[in-house]
Amino acid sequence: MTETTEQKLAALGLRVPETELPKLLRLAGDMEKAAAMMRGPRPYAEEPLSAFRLPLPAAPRS
Amino acid sequence: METDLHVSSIATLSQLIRTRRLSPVELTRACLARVKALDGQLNSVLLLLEEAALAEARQAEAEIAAGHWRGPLHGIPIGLKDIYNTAGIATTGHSALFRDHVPGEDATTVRLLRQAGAVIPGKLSTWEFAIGGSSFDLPWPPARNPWDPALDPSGSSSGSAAAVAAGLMPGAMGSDTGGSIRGPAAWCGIAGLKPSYGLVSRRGILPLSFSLDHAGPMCWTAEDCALMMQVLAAHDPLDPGSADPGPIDFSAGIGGGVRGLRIGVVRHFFESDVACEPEVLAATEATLQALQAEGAVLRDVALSPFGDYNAVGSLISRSESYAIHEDFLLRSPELYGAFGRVRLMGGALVRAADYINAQRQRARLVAEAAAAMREVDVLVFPTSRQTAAPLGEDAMISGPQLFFNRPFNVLGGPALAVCNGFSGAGLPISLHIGGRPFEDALVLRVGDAVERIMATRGRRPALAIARDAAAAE
Repeated sequence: MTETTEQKLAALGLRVPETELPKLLRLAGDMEKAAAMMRGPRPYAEEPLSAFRLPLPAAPRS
Repeated sequence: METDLHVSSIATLSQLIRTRRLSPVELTRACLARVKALDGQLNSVLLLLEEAALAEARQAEAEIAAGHWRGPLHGIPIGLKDIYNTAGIATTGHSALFRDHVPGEDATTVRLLRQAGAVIPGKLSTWEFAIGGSSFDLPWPPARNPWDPALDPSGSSSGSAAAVAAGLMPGAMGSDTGGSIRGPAAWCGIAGLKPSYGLVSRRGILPLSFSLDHAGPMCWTAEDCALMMQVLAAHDPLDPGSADPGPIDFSAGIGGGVRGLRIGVVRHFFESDVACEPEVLAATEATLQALQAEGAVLRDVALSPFGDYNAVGSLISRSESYAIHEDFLLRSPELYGAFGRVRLMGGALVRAADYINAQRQRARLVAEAAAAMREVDVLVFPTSRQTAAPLGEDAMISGPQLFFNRPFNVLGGPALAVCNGFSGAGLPISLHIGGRPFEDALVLRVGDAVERIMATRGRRPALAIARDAAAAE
């Protein structure tokens, strides 16, 4: 089943005034286009392209 | 003397204060009077802190008289975008949702400004929570552009830019997630610096997007931004994104010109990726020729298309801002304005995999730009494709992007907007200067050179000048 944007928002508990829905749908369309640009296969050799960083170790106690 | 104060830079005012030719109390009184006289047309100030500001100014005056000058911001009025927490003073985000929000402590940046002796004259208008837009459905009206109050100052640091351009105060703090310092700086004809990511603490500033948020100065000149950065740049362990690059002299290059500097021109951004107004293109070309005549070496630089940066920045900022606002949006959506509600709710629709892909793509863009910037010292392109638009239009929601700011939010390097000309209608045009991470001083040097070479700093909004003339009569 394919959910509509309105159904997705309702499922998340978000209440959008009817008058604002056209703008939100346009925004959703823009974001879907943006996301589509970044989907698809990537060579594993390039990974990791996003990382978790630990803080630098504290200076040793003298 | 009062009529000169509002068109004086922080650098000039500071010198007058240091040598005791100007009292911080006199300067603060002049700023407060100007806000009262003009801000009814601009709506740039949400909360005027008259008594507190005068008390701070009197303290500064006493300290300087006793020989304890703290530095270039001592006794200088600096306004705060109303997302900067101020202890015991409302910090509303320009939203009904936070109308009664009174923080218990100052943001780190506010504390640093106070330690430097700055005077805080007021809290300034912003797009709702730094994202909403120039809305008329909020508890306070939107700020207006001092060059023409029928026009939008842009945002989200709308009040900061309007107040500085109108000479209500010589400096202000803004924040920049997708261009919110540089956009209003461009349309209001001032200088605005998005510092390197991590250089200025975000602790105590209402957040929008953890990995894209930056705090920075907005002033009449790049030189003044450098003076503010000297106070603002400090490692803050309470901001997980805070960096510690060591001491930086932000004013080192001011007045140094551009001779020998390699300036990369990202022509495809403004010649093919996004269509620009002819006057913007003309001002850009005139500036490039002038920089070359001053000894700069120009090189064309190709990066990924502007749309790639915009897509990455948009997905990341929407996702992160929704995560921050989700609980409020579920419980009290009616307390947001329509612009803010739509923009924030849009983030609920981004899938986790798409957000992570955007972060991965961001890493590629950072690597690509780093490689390109081994051959040049800074990158330049227009800040905005056009001059200021009419107030009330919601052009940010969809369609062609008005600003070229997003790449440097994605990249994290320093980025400065400076006025490099005026349209035939007398509206400011702006050049965007981006640099390698933590080379903020170099970006400020180039911005200072542009302002001097293009001689844009002698022209102020007619609104302000007309009122001064009336007051002087």
